[in-house]
Amino acid sequence: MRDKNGKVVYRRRYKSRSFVEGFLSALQSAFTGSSSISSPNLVVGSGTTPPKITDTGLTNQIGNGTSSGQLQYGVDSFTSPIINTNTNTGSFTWSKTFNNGSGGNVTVSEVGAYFGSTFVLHDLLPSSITLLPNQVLTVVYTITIST
Amino acid sequence: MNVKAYLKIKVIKDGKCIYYRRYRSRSFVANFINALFTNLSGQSVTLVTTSGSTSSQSASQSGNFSLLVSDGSNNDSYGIQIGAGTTAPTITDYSLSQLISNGTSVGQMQYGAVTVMSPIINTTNNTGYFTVTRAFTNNSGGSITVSEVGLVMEVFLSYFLIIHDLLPTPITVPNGSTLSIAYEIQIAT
Repeated sequence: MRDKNGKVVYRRRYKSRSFVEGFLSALQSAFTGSSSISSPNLVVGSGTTPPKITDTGLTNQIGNGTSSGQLQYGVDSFTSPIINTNTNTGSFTWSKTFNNGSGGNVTVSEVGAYFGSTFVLHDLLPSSITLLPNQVLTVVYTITIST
Repeated sequence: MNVKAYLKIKVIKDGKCIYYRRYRSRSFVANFINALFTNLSGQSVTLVTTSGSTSSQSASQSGNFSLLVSDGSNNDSYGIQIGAGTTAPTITDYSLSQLISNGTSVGQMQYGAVTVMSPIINTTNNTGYFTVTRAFTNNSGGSITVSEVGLVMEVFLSYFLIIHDLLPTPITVPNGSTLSIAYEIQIAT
């Protein structure tokens, strides 16, 4: 998280644990050729309910905007995959910024993602994050494989 | 991320299961993460075909690029493949070390169709999985040893290896028997 001057004021890295049913369905559909994995959309929320595999959305998604309790959603961004032939690992990142232009504090406690209208990922943060006015939260998922 | 793959191997002879093993699949390769990346980002990537040539691929973010593995029978171009190689997989692998081709000649096996089953969700333990399965029948007249397995996707008539596993123990498939290979893709929430 950065303050209004761009200074990093908070940083945490967690293992994401919660792909949900929609991800499995999306991958299965891609394997059968009936659809692709597309239209990524990271979202944040203020819910505190532990994720379940049948979740179809965040418990309480924070809306996009500058009204009270809202955050301004940036664009989903990606870095190209990096393949490490020494460790036989590969990864890319998927990120998005959320700017607090609401004029008040906004607390984020859950993160998730959609492919199109399909909810695929739901993580409850170990600790909630409170964004002060004009602070910017950046959420980064690192997708990793190993051989 | 909590996606796991398992490899289930079964040999059936005269209607009886004579061999069964289940291993953790450990070897997604670079083509897989590159394909996932272009699907999500819409940016182009370079994939490597099973013949070793490079191929620039790009999906639009609205989607036009699947990870098709559900091949038909008597075709060894994509879907689950088997081989006789013993080289340890690396992340840059683009093909099996030594493909066992489709057919009934010496050293060949008949490839069945690939089946991709619908996901099964267990709400009690918050897990889910689906399986990709293919049968290989040995009508070659002799035994055939299988030591590696892979999963190959088709994209616009090009073929790309996305998983490569070396079996901990090679399997000898007797003549007249059928080898069944299943990749089980699992998630946990």
